[in-house]
Amino acid sequence: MTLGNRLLDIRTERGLTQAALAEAVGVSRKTINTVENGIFIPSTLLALKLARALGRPVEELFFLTDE
Amino acid sequence: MTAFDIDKADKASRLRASLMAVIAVILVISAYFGFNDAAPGAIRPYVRHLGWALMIVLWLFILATGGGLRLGKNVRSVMNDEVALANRSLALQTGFWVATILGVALYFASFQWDMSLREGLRVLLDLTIAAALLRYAWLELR
Repeated sequence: MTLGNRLLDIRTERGLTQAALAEAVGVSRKTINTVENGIFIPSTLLALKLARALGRPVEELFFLTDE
Repeated sequence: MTAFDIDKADKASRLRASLMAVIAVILVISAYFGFNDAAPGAIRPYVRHLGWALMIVLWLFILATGGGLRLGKNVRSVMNDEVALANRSLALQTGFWVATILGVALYFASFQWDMSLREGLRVLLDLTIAAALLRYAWLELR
């Protein structure tokens, strides 16, 4: 079981760049990029910060996959 | 936190990772000279040893803290965010395993080749820190 995310879709839907989201959350652009690409699994704190910055519940951003 | 801070932190992080890769190569070369005790004769031995020790301490400090002390609190916190901390943790794990395996290898190598304690320690420290720096650089720049 792995962690999937819809971060890229929701971020672009809201018209935000990686840099703008990074600024809103207080992390590097690389962190946003690695989370979006599934390279890095964020902490609960970062996941909640991302959800708040994007105005969505955290379970809409992240989900479990059966892969 | 401003866009300027994020941009500055991104640039500083890339520079830090690139420098780590360069220093790792220098440490590997230093390990070779340390092992053979055949550094260029123009440099006085105590200057060479002191320079080496300073380089080791400096990069250990950067590995431990992330460096960037002059860049301000906001930039430093972005430079050392949770991805950077996770990468640093993996780099330190790599350093631990390289040190352990190299320690065992040098122990057995000492039966075959004459090697002073200083030479052995220099090889061990150079290659251990080089491995940790290289892993960190690779994780940050990929």
